[in-house]
Amino acid sequence: MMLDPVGAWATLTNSPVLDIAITVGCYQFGLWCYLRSGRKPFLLPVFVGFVLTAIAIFLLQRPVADYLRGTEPMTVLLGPVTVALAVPLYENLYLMARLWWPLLLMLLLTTISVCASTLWLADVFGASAELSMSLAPKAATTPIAILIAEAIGGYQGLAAVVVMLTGILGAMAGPSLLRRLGVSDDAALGFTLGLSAHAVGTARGFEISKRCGAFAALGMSLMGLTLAVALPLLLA
Amino acid sequence: MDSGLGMLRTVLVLCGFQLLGETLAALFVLPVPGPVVGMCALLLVLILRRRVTPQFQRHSHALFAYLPLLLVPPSVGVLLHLELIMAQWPPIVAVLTLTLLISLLAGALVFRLSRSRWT
Repeated sequence: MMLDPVGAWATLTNSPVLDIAITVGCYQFGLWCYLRSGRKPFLLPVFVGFVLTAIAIFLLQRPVADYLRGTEPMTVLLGPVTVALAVPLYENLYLMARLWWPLLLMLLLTTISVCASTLWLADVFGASAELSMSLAPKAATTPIAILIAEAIGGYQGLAAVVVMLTGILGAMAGPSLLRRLGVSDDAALGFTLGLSAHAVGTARGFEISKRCGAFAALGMSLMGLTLAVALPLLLA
Repeated sequence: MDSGLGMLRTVLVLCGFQLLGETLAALFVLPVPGPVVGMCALLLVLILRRRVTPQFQRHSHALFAYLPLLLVPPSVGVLLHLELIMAQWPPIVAVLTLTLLISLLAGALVFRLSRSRWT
């Protein structure tokens, strides 16, 4: 009997199933760390999963393009799940009934100031066009942000990581900073947290109170929708 | 009545709305991403029907539990841009920190203007 260890290793490392197994395994580990740590934002499962997967891909010397092709079965599913984001938006829409004008004003002012300051700062600090377009959707939730980045000529991977970091920073610094700025109401705090730190901010909001989390989810959904419609129309 | 396969109906509806969104975006040559158009269409239908079935609601939330996992591969795509990050880290750091601050300030400002409406 003849053994072919080189061929076997090549078969293993070239299998798309290995890409998926590494991704799921690293994410699982991230989830475990997150829950063990008492849900610390910087141990966000998707962030830990991403860092570990990236390291594994690098150590295995797997070309990134091959990894992306191998994990396409997972990426394709992002589409229907993004469509499903209409459900939480619909569920929380009733929160607007009594507070519609402060909420809309917050949404409008935050959207304009974030987009304008992002493009202005990127320009001042000498970012390339591709980088600017990857930074522009930073306030949107990740599945929407990567769609926007692609639509306006940015890089999906870069946008995904920038959005993750935005969420982590926002969830860590947001609540205490907002309280110091005089935001004494849970609903207002949650909404601003959702607008600034999307899904990570929403998770943080639910830790503060149910009301805070619900408004954060509303803020996140409205911000994602607004940016997804406005940015491609204005910048593409 | 909800056999485990009930989820398939939800997934089929979601796929249908995504395809509708992609088709509409292509038809009207919209720069808005197809799945987002599909999401708007679904939202419109929910608002017009004034209800979302508990099953559809439950399945959607079950899918969201997997959303962060699905975001790992696109994030790993950042490895394609390491040189860009090395060369242009100042704007990245500036945007990450300062725009977050601006965003929180904008929210706080509106809250102060409308304080009496809350609580």
